[in-house]
Amino acid sequence: MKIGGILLVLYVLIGGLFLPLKTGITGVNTFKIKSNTVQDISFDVYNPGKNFKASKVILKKENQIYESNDIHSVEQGFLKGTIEVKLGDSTPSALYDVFVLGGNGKQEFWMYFPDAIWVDKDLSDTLLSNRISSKSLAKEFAGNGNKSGAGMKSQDVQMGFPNRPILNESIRNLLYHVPMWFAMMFLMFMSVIFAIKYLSKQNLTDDLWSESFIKVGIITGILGCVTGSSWASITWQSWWPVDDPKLNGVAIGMFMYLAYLILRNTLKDPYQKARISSVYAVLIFPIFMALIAIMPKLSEDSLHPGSGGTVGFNKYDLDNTLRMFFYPAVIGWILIFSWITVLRFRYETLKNKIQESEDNE
Amino acid sequence: MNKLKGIILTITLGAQTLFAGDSVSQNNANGVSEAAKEMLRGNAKFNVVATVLVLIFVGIIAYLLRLDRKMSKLEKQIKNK
Repeated sequence: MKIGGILLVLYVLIGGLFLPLKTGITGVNTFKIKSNTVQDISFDVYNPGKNFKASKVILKKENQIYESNDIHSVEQGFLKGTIEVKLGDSTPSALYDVFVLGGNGKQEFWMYFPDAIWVDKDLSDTLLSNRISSKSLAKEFAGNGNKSGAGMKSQDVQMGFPNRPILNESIRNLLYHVPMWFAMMFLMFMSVIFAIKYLSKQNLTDDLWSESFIKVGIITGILGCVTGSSWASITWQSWWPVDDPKLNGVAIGMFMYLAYLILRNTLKDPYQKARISSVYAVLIFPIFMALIAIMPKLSEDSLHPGSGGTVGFNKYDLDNTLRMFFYPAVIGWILIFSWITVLRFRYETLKNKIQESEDNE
Repeated sequence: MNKLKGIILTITLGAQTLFAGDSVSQNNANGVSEAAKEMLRGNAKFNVVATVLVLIFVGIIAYLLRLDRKMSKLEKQIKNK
């Protein structure tokens, strides 16, 4: 178990850190352009590779599509070109998404950046910052970003992790932050199994297993919170977006499990302690799962992928490259934490034995 | 337990300030706030991956060290008998 876990986690670490990201647009250097004039545009291209060439830049807003006149080659990660956008009288000024058709000599692929350029009829002093709230942008990209690009099929067969706007390199965290929660769910599920086992057989070792699983599960929960918080501070621009139902659910769930520890400490008689805490463990698991898995799905506004209005990672982005590492990551971390649980259980057993022998003296 | 949480919290905050730098929003000449600009540019964001990994390993090692200390206490109890 421990060797399997260590090997899998090592594989995930090495692969997850060294595999490059696919070519993508990571930034826009032109924030606004004026309608009916030829304008320069410039983008940052990430990981362009040696033979990278861009053949087309498209500005798109719903059904409005404008194509670039001219694309200069990429120099030092900058893509430069010109574009003329003609807004009709009825078309309002708006933020446009950018699509870039790039190629590396072998295949062509589309790159995408949402809400990139403000196209204005007259360049008065419009404040761009007022129009973009980081959170709405994050949501837009998570939810509808790929939908609006659905007409342009990406045919990339590049090796590497997908380069998504806003996430960029941090998509690798999928292999480290998400498995923490999978591990927590697994550990809590195991604790329920052992709690039920204790209730039917009245064997104190089962209760010790259940306790160890919950204690290590709380550690994975704390790790998941802390890693998720630091990820959110970069991508969602907030340490703890309070209106995300998943975060609130997790906070309540963690307090329920901390209450389990307090409950255990208040009871002295080992059989009474085991019985009451087993019942509590069985009771809170469904509530915990409902809070972290079902409520966010029902709610309308979660930032997490796969809940509410947002699309899950797996629909578009858990592509074969990520999948190659994501499943081993989940299994590997679960094995590592199960091994730590075994250590914890052995410690608890020893402690119990010593206490018993002391009581007998 | 409290000590452990304290350690984890300190490290998160420390690592974040170390890696992420400050994103003070200041209006520049174009009227685009720095935060929005930084977001549009989309820096590589590799630092947050490093932070997350450091956090996980520090968490696991801190937990194992705590377990180790508890084990030593048990060993002492056995020896004193």
